[in-house]
Amino acid sequence: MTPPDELSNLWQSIPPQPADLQALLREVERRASSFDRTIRRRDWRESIAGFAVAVLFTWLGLRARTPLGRVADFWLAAYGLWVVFYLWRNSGPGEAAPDGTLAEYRRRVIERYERQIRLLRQAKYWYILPLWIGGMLSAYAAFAQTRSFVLLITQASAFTATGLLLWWVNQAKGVPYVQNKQRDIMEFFGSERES
Amino acid sequence: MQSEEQNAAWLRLMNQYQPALRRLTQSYEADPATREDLFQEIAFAIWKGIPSFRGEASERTWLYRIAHNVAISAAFARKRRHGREVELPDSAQPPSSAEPLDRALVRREQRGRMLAAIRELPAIDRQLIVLYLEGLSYRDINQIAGMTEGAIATRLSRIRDRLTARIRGEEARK
Repeated sequence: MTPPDELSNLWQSIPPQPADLQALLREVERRASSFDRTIRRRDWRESIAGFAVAVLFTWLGLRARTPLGRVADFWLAAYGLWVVFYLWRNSGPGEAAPDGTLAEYRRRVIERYERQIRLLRQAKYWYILPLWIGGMLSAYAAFAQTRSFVLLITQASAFTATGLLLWWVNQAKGVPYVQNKQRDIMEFFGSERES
Repeated sequence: MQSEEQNAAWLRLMNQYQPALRRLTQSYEADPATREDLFQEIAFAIWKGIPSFRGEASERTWLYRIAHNVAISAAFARKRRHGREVELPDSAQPPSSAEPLDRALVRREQRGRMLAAIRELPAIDRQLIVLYLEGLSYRDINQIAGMTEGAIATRLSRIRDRLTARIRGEEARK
């Protein structure tokens, strides 16, 4: 027989497993420095790609032979910086802070997923469209210089195909993946209302 | 906060709450190695949180909030990796030497069933029952879970019945 009070007795009878706290503290400090390094690396990885694009296209823009070619290159350079800025502005903290009540924590976790879904859904405006416009400008600049329709069609098609592929990856793969994750964690938390 | 002060505060908290945190990890992880990882993760989150602790909640409330929230996230991440939570028998713990062997074995078996049943609960219910079993009042639980005391009472009564039925049911089947 296990009356309800027996649950508490059973719980308290779980054998203690004392840890060497000094050793654990050293492990915690090691984790802290590796955690900081990981965060710094993640932030840098995201920024370096954008800055590399900006530097490359600024250099190309300065060497461009036509004004339109220069505009296209500077547009793409600005695009690299824009993506870095937009991600920095909108991606929010990597993890939800765990010091709130369970209800607050649940809300923070869900908001984090919602922010990711919003970013992915809006990628066509802040990520894909400016890239496509830059690509089209660049294609037209090349056409204006060479008068080659083949080059124009090839470049325009390549940029459009890239844009469509990015859009498809975001909408068909990225958004459902994050939505599934969000649904799973809500289920894992359970409902706050009595069922 | 200076690192030495942070370390001293952490050591004091861990000295005081280590047994409760160990029990908490048992309600989330059956595998001893994963449980140890979780314990370290909680210890790290507490250490990281110390500089921003403003005393708006009691130290105990703050610590339990961090521990449960970290445990939930870790258990969820693992569940997504492996498809489900890993369930192992509660066989790693030696019986206490203070009680007769047969009694200790029965107790260990009951404890294993109780822990397995707790691990099957949704995260919210799991948190409520663990805090209740740790002896916290409904008021304290309210500060940690963010639910009304009435809702906590109703829910706990259902969870306790479910756990007791589970242990009794399995005993009856034997």
